[in-house]
Amino acid sequence: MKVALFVTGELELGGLQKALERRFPGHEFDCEVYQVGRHGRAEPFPSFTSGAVSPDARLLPEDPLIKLAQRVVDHQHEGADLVLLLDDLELANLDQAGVVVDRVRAAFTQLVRDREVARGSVAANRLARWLRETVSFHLAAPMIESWLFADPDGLPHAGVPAARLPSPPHLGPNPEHVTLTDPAYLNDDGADCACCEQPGCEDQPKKSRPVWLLNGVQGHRERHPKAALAWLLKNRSEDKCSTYRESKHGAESLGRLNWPAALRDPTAMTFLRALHNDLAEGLGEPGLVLPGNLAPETMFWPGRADAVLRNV
Amino acid sequence: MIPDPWTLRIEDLRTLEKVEWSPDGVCVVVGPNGSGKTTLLNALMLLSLVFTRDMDTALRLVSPAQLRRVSAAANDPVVLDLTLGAVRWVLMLPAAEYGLQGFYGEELYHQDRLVLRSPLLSQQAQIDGAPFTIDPDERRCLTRVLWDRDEPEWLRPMAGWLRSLRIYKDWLLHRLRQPWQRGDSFSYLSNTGDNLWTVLDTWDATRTYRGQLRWVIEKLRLAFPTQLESIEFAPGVRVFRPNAPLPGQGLPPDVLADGLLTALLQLTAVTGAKEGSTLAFDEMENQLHPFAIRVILGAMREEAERKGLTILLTTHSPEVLNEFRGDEERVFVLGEPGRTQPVALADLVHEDELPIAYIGERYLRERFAPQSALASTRR
Repeated sequence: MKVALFVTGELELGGLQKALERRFPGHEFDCEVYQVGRHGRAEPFPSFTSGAVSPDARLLPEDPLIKLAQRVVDHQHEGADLVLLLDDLELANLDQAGVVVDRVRAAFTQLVRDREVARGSVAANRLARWLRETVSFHLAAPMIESWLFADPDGLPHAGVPAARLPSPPHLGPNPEHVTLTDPAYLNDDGADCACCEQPGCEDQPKKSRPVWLLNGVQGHRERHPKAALAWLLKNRSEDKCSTYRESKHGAESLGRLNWPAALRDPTAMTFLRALHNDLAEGLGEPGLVLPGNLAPETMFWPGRADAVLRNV
Repeated sequence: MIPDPWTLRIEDLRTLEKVEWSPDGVCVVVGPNGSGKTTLLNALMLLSLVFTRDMDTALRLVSPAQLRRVSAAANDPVVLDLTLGAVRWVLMLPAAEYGLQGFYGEELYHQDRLVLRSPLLSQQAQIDGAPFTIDPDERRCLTRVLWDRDEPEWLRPMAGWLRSLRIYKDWLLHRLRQPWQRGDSFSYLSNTGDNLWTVLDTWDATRTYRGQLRWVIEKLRLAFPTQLESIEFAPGVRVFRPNAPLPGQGLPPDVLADGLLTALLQLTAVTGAKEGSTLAFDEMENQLHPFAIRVILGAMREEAERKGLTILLTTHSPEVLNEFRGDEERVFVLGEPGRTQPVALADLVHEDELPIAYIGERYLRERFAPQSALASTRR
């Protein structure tokens, strides 16, 4: 079967297709690109979860979620058997996954209504049915790097040297909640980073600061897998004090993801398991379904009466 | 007014392998750089100039270099074929690397009857079945010879269309900034717009055309509400802004914004066009704010409907494309592999997707007419 992927990160754009092809051989996965950028490289879609998602804000045409949903809708007649839409939940939305999902439902519902106005109810019903049968929306919680912490080989595959690999007490049991509690990481103020003019890199532009010293990460470092990975690949003389590059290290590790290993703990990684099992069902591979808890916000269950998409 | 429909067919002209195109109303052409947008307009210009002037002048103005498509067979002529109503005019150009390698071929049909024929690379022609030897010094095309000799009524619409065709590519804005003095009258804008002030002054002085000037001013006020209230022509050209109506407060043209001048030229061209004629604007969005683009496009549509005009626009502007929502059959895409060009956007998408909410956004993301290597290989 053919699966179209709509992703919002460089890491996913670089590695998700390969990861899924390894897990579900015999099926075709194709990552849609938002655009080809100025250097001739494919760019992912802009995320709509960068800040806290508001349940009440109007969904305007320029909203990244509407633009993303419109691109998915444009794909209706491109021949994909399944469509997977994936975005990061982000720390700002960690406690409101349901709100994020509701916004997605609202966006697609609006586009179905727009179709009805433009082309009538028959065309709108066709679109609605296609969305329910074909399109799934999933979340990487809080961001895709948590998958690399869940896979025992994820960090080495991302280039983390053996000496820097965290020891078990410092690794959170569920990377979707807590990633890294090493005191050296939690207390690192960047004083030894060449890019920091002063401890804490205060008052410096965002693009020159190490990820773990960004404003949005402070107070939540232990829950930020991207910051943790950047710290594990710390290099004092590099830009942003780290050799970590999403599109390189992250994508490489994601492409080699060991899904059963990442999902070995049935109580952890519920969002990832929801994605995995939804795909397994959709691809007609029930034998590949992995046991364990599923995130209620994004789990697939057949026959759901109020579904706007396959799983939400 | 309902104009005569026309169809342009082309074979092997520069990057255009095979074209069949019958636009009407206000249409837009998009495509990657080098896909043939300007060549398409040049083909129309070539036909017009061959009829109104001669082949040498036509080739000089569209450039005689490498007319034939690079991968076309060496002896295949470049074919330009224009059908207007019941008349069909065909030119066959034996293109060399530079210019033509001999006499071009020409055929004229009326209601499928061959009226005249001049074979490729030959001076022995036929008109109405009778042999006709082309004078070696004759520069006019055979169809023009026939028109000048007999003025057949059935040829009048084609002759009028060819004479009234206007292709606007390069406005000479710097000439408009120079001091202007009243001189000869002109009621039609030149292809470069350098007679703009004279045209507007003529309209101002002539009761028949004064309404056209009023229309232009009205649209400009809408598009540039803080820039223009009125224009006066004596002495010299003065543009008056709102709230600055006194004689000493008028601005000379050399301080006018490029966008204002461009809009003035476009509106003058459109409202001054002959009924039923065709005009084209290459990259009409240049120098214009998105709001001004919307106003001018609206004005173009208004005049196109009133006067039966066909207005062809080439563009790279997402803003221009967005204005064609619901009109996707008038968005023409060049560069679609393996298809007769140009292809209407409405034919590139499933009907359920029409109207397309943001055509410009699709173009920006290279969903059609891709240019980047990556986007092109993904199609």
